[in-house]
Amino acid sequence: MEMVRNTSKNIKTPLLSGSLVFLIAAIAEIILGIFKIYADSKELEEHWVNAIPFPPGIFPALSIFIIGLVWLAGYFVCIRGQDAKGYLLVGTVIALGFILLFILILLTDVFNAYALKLEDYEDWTVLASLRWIIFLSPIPIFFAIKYRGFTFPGRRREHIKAK
Amino acid sequence: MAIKTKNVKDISKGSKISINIALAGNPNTGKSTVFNALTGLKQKIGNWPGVTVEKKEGKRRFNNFELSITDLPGTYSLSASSIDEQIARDFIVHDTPEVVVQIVDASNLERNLYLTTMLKELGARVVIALNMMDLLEKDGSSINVQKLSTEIGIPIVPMIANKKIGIDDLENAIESVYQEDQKPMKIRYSKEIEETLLKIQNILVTIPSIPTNFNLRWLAIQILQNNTEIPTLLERWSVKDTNIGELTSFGKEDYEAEIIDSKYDYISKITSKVWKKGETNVTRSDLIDQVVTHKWLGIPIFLLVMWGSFQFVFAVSVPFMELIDMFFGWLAGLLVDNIQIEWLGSLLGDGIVGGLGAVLIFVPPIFTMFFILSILEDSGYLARAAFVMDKLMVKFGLHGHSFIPMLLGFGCNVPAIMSTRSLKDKKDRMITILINPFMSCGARMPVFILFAGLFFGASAGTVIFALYILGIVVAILTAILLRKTFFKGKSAPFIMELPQYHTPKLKSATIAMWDKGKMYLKKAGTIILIGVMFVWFLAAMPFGGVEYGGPDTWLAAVGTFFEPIFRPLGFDWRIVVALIVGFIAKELVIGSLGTIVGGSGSEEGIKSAILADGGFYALNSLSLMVFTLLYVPCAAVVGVMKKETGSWRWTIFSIVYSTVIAWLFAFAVFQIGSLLGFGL
Repeated sequence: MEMVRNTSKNIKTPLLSGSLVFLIAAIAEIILGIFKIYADSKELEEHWVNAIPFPPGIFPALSIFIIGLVWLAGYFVCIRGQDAKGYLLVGTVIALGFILLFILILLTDVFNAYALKLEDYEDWTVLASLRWIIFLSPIPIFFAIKYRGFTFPGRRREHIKAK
Repeated sequence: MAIKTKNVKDISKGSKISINIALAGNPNTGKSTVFNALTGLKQKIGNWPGVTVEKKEGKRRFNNFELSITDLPGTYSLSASSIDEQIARDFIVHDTPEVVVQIVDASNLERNLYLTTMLKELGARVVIALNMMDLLEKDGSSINVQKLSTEIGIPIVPMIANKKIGIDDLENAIESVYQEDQKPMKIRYSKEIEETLLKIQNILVTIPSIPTNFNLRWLAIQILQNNTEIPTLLERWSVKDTNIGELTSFGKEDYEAEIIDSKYDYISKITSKVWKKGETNVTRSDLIDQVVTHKWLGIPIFLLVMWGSFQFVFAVSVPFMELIDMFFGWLAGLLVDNIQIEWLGSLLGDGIVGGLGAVLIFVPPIFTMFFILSILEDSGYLARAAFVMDKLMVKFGLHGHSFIPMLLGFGCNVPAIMSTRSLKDKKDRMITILINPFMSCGARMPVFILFAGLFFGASAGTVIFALYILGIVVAILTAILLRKTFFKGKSAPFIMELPQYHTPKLKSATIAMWDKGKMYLKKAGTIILIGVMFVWFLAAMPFGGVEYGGPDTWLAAVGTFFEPIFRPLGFDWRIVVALIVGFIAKELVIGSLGTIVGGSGSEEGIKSAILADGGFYALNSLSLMVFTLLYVPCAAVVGVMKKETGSWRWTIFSIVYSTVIAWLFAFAVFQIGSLLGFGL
C-alpha cells in the first residue's frame, strides 16, 4: 500500500500536466479544424486560412483528446490513493504510437511528393503534413524515459526498489 | 474410452508405428503453436480464445514412430456446450487417440487441471505440456513440475512453445507414454455419489452393446452429471429406450455441483503443494486492462485504435500502390502499342491487364490491413475489444463474443462466420452469422479507396472509416431487429478469459498476413481473371461495328435491363453490371469497371477515365460505396453461411435482406444528397 502511495505521488503531477497540455491542444485543434472547414466552404480570404500554422483535423484532435482524458483519469485515480501506473503507461503508449504513425504519414508524403512526384502532391509542402501531436511528442517521450521502470516490461521491480 | 492395444515389440523391428495424438486443452493455451512446432505446418494462431474452431491434422516422424497429430479446438471440460467444444470432446471420447497431449497454461494451473481430471477419469493416456513457463516466471510464480507429475501421475514437459523450447522433450514424453499403461484417475466422491455410481455401473455392465473396453465409471459420472449428450451416445450403441430412461433418471443437478466441487478440491490440494505464487499481485496486463477495459475509456480507446489502424494502412500502402499502378500502366501501353490484331490487343489491354491491374493495385492496403489485424490479435487486444464491447452489444441483443467474428469480418467474412462456432447459444450464433456480411471485408476496400480517393481528396481516410462505422451500425440495427423478431430471448452471459498481453511477433504477423492475403492473390489469378475476361467478352459483343463497352454491346443490354431499379441510387448501367458481377467476388466490382471504362490498367488511368466519363461524381460515388458496403455478400460467403446455419431459408433471407438494406441506404444517401444540392 505504501508503495502504491509513493508511486501515485510521483506520477500525480506529471499526469495532470500532461493531460492539461493535451486537452487544451485538442480543444484548440478541434476549434481551428471547424474554422478551417468553415473557411474552406465560405472561401474566406486566404490570409484567414493561412493564419493557422499547422493543418488542424477533427480526428487527429480527437486522438490527442482521448490521450489527455486517459492521463486525466489517471490523475483522479491517484487522488483516490489508488495505483494509476496503467493510465500513465497506456496513455504514453497510445501517444507514442500516434506520433510514430503521423511521422510515417509525413515520410510517405515526402516520398510521394519528391520521389514519385505524384500529381496530387504538386502544391504539397512539409507543413501540410505536420500534425499537432508531433509537437507534443516531448511529453510522452519524457514519460517513457522517466518512468521506463513500469512502461517497459521486466524493469518494474527494479524501479520500485529504487524508490 | 477404448484404448487401442499396442504391440511394443513391433517398435524393435524398425517398422514405423503410427500414434494418433490429440492436442487438447483450454482455449488460448497455445495448442496450435505446439501443433505448428511439431508438424512444421502453419495453422492459424492468435492471442485470444476461440482461434481454432475445427480440428486440424498433421504428421511428424519421430524415431520409429509416425505421429498423426490432431489439433483440437479449445475446451474447458468434456461437457461440451458449443460446436467447437463438441468437436474436441467427440474426438477424444469417440476417436480414441492413443495419446492426448494436454496443453496447460502454466500461469493458470488450477483451472487447466480441471480438464486433466476429466481426461484421466476417462482413462486417456495423457502428457501435459506445461506451456507459457516464461509468463509464469515473469509473474514471479513457480511450479514444482516433478512433484506435480508425481501427484497426478502424468508426465509433464515444461515448455515455451512460441520459442520452440521443450518440443524435443514433448516428443520423448509422447513416446514413453505410448509404451506404458496409465491407470484411470479415481477421484473419491461422497459416499452417496459413489454408491449411485456403482448402481449405474452395475446396470451398464448388463448392456451388451456397450463396448467392453469403454470406461464405465466415466460413463456413470456423465450420467450422474446429467450430461445432455449421454442419451445420444447410448442410442448410438443401440441401448434400449427403457434402459436409457432408467439410467438418465439417476442424473441430478446437485450431483453435478458436488462432482465439480470434488474435482476442484482435489486440484486445490495438489496445487497448494506444487504452486508458489509470485510476489507481484498486479501484472502488466492487469495495469493495461485497468485502462483499456475501463467503462468510459474502453470504447473511445478502441475507436482510436481502429482509426489509427486505418490511417496506418493508407500511409504504408500508397507508395506501393503507385508503383504497381505505374507498372500496369506501362504494361498495358506496351501491349496496346505492339499488338497488331485489334481484338487481341483489346482483350489483353482492356480486358486482362485493365481488369487484373485494377484489382492487384489494392494488394498493398489489403495486406497491410491483414498485418494490422494480426498484430491486434497477437497482442491480446482483440479479446479486450470484445470485452469492452460486451456491455454495448448486450444492449443491442448481441453477445460480447460476437464482436470477434465481427472484427474478423473486416478481413474476410468466410473465416469470420466460421469463428461463430465458439458461441454457445444457438440464437446468438445465428444473429452473429446473419449480421457478419455487413462488416466490410477487404475485398470491398478497393471500391472505397478508388472512389473516396477520387472524389473526397484529403478526407478519403475519414470517409472510409465512416463507411466501416456504418457497417457496424447496420449490423447492430439488424441484430436488434432479429432479436426482437425471430430470435427472441436474452443473450447468454459473456464469459471470456482475457489472455496475457504479448509483444506481437513480426514473424507470426507476417505469416498471418500472407496466409490471409494470398487468398486475394489466388482469386486474382483464377475467378477474377475469368470474371474480367467474361466482362470483356460481353463488352465486346456482338463483334464488328460496336464500340467496346458502348451502349450497343451485350453488356449494356444486361445493364440497361436492370438500370431502372438502380437509377434512383444514381447508378448507370455500367455500375449496375459491375455490382452484379461483384456477387461472384467483390474484387470484380473494380475489375469490371476497369474493364468497362478503360484506363489502360492503371489506377491513374481508371481515375482519369472515370473523371472524363461524366457518369461518375461525388454523390453517386458515395451512394455506390454505401451500396457495395451493404449489398449481398460474395458467393463464397453465401456458401459458408448455408453450411454454418444449415438452412437455405436463412441464407436466402440474408441475400434478400442485405440487398434491400443496401438499396434503401444508397437511396437515402443519393436522394438526400441531391436535395441538399450535392448532386451533379
